[in-house]
Amino acid sequence: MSQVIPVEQLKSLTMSIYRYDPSVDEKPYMQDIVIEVPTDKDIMVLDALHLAKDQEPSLSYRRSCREGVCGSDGMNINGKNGLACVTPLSEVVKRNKLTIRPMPGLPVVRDLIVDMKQFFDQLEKVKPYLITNSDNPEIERTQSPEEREELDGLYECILCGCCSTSCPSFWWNPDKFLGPAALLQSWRFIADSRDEATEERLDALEDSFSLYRCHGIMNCVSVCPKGLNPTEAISNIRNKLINREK
Amino acid sequence: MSKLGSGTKDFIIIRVCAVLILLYSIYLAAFFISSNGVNFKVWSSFFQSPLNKILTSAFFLAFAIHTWRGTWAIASDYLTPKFFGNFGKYAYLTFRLFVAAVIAFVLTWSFFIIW
Repeated sequence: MSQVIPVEQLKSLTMSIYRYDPSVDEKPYMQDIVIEVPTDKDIMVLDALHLAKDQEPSLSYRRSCREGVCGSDGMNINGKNGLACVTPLSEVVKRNKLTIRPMPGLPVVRDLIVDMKQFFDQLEKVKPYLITNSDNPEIERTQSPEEREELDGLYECILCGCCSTSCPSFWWNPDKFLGPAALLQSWRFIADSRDEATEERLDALEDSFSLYRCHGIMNCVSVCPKGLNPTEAISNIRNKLINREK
Repeated sequence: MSKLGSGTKDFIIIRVCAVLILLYSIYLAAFFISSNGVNFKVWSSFFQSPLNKILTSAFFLAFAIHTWRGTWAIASDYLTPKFFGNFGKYAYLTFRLFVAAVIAFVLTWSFFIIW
């Protein structure tokens, strides 16, 4: 924060932040850092983290666009996953304390940075791209406005990982259960009128784990910073699996 | 012909069993409500009816299948090497054997009581 704010317009906020540097620390610990936040405006959690980093330059976290588009700064904020850059302090601070941890379920690389390999491995399995077998049209593959509308609420996913890492089924079986983010993308392409690999996509989801490990807990819906509904997408795939005839 | 994989089959079987359990529970509740006090005579005459014997047996079968598949889901989440290290495999097998024994006991017992 570049401008100087008068002291009377500041208040203290205690941030309890998960710290772990595997090259130095034997085990993770929580570090309390007291920061001064302005009283006249509502700053984001990411801004608060910057203020904490001013005091503790070794504090590490991912961030890039700082406006909820890149999906880099997913983290666990006072017990609930979210994007630090679009979460105002007023929404999450309780009793003047803010606890920040890395997204649960994934291996920690350092501090708030997690290794998202398992997450992206699962995404890769659903082949998140258009598959066509027919000849390419002369200009482009068209869709009617109605067909395009089917993709609303699906294409907006920014792959931040907040949903999958809040899902207990993904915590217990991150190698077998695809997780809400990957399944939302799976439905995004099954629902796409231009895609020609529906059967192949459904075949890949028939086993007991890939999709059916979803127990409808709906943590994914509760935490999605883009307001998407992976549970509904999973339910749509399940209905398609049950109803399909061959 | 429907193409159903193991996940879809399981999903349908578990839910069909759940519906059977629910319907039987409602049926039994209706019996209790409609009977003017349930004593031994009323209770034993209820189980003299072949229809009630079949429905009760179907309930126990549905209960057994539902329990077997449901506890498998729990065991494959929690009784794994992730939680228990090398002991995970044995914890899983022990639990499955225990559940199988309980189900076999309940099914056999119910069969002897009903028939």
